[in-house]
Amino acid sequence: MTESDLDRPTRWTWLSYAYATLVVVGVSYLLLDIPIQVSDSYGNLVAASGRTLGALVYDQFHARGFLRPFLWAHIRIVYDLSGGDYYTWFRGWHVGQVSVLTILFLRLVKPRTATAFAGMAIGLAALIGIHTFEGTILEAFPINAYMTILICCYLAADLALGRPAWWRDVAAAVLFAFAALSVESGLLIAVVLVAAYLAGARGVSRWGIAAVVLLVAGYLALRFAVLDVGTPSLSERSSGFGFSVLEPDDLERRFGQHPSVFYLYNVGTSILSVLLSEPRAGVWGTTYNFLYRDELSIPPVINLTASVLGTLVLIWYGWRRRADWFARRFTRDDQLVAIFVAVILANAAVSYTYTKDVILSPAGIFYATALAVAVKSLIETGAVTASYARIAVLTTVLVVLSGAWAARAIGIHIALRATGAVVRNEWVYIDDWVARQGIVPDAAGLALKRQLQADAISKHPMRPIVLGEWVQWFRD
Amino acid sequence: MRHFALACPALLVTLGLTVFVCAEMLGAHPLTMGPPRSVPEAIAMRDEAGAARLIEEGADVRAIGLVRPGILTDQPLLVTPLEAAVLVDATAMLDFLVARGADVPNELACLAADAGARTARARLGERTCHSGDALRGVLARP
Repeated sequence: MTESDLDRPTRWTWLSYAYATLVVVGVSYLLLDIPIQVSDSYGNLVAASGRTLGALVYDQFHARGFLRPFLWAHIRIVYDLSGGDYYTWFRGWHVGQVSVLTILFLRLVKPRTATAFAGMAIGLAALIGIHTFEGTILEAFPINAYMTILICCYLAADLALGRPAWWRDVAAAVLFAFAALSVESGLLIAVVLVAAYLAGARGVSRWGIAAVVLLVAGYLALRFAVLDVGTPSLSERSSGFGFSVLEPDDLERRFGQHPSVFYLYNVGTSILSVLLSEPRAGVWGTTYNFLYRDELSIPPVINLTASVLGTLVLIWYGWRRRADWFARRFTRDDQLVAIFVAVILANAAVSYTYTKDVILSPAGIFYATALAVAVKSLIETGAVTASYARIAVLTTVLVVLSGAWAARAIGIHIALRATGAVVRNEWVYIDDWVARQGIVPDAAGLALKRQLQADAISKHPMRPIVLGEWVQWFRD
Repeated sequence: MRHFALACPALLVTLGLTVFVCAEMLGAHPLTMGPPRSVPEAIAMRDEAGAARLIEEGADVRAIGLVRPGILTDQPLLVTPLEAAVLVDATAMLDFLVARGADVPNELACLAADAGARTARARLGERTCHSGDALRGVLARP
């Protein structure tokens, strides 16, 4: 299929958009049922609403450990736009973000044929169902900064894989600046752009790439030399290692002299987590349960099956395309796979001090796009094979792969409904939480608390929780 | 076209979810037991916000209510909100109910011991009870 063919929508394109609409409706329905959470949201709203937008952003340039001024600006802007209807605006914003992300996924994958549609459906299940995605929809602060970065990552790839134009260079630079100053993982925008360029994508020109590289240098200089923001230290929070989570004191005791061992562990386990769904946040929980507790519930087996098969398909794709890659001949699908490889390595590298599922969400979304195009390629290859045995094996693998990712997608929907219940219950005990946190809200803060509590408990009561033994097949 | 079938599991899940969403929006409650019908039932379903809402709307924090079968046990239960909180070991809800006027009977600590509710037991303190009597008393309610 030529580039111009790819630009021309077919009935499979429209069918893909219709299908994706149903997926977004399902997620959004459950997402809209989650109230604004207590932890990481109420306190943030009080902090964001207490100062002018300018003062808020200025203060964030002088914070310790983190440099996220645009995240706070983002919270403040939506807060102001809401006109007091916080539930509708913050939840609506989150739903809007999921919709935009899904549209960008389709723009990148460009489904134009029946095989591409099949690949897209499996890829979309992976996008929603992968464990790294959970933290972007089950939580919000009350803007989910990680979700913002995912959209920026897909936007960067979309810019890079498009037709060359000067405005793409400008957009890429602006996008990088916004993302990098929202959350640290925004630096991955530069990785997406550079990887796409190295794989032959020219949507963003050499000058555009040079500008982004300069901005990366500027960011590092600003963060470490000018503002001296630094990075979170080893002893700042507990972290997974081996079969357990180590408390900051334990981390300091075990790795204080040789932190590089711990950092290497984090980088390695981050890569494995995306590719195999084990370990999670540095902890080999499923392995431990299998080896020492003689118990293995169904969800981790499904997760492992989906990820191992998906990763094998990606390895097969790379092996099949190796000759062209060595000759520096890349198709659009190759470029998506190349971006995934670059992002997983860079994402793991920036997780060196601390790893958890949601931090790896950029690698997770590019895993989904790479899987979509690799599955399409596998189906097309299988379609031209003469051997019935090969077709039978291939069909079995693809049905199991599709089924496992679909099961993971069910799991995330169950988790969304359960999260709605958990968050609502937190609002019952908000006064205890406020006292524990040592927060002393002013009159506006108290009014905000009353309003959010009423939203969570009275105005938007919980929809009934899903019950039944079958729930445990999909969710621990 | 046959390639389309390979994506069937994912497509079926999406269609199933769409049916679920439509059914709920039309007032049905597929795959759920519907909303809680009493304060004890809300607590038993771990819908503490639902319990708080019912109390806010005027429900009595001392009244015995029905917990439908399939929520805590296979049989229907008649329990007070405090008993429901003990049976699911929800100590924060215990405090919430007490703060709203629920009286704590002596047998509640025995029920916590019988139900194996460790945090509720710690919260309510030790009592001298015949093992199992308090739980049997709750289960035997007509």
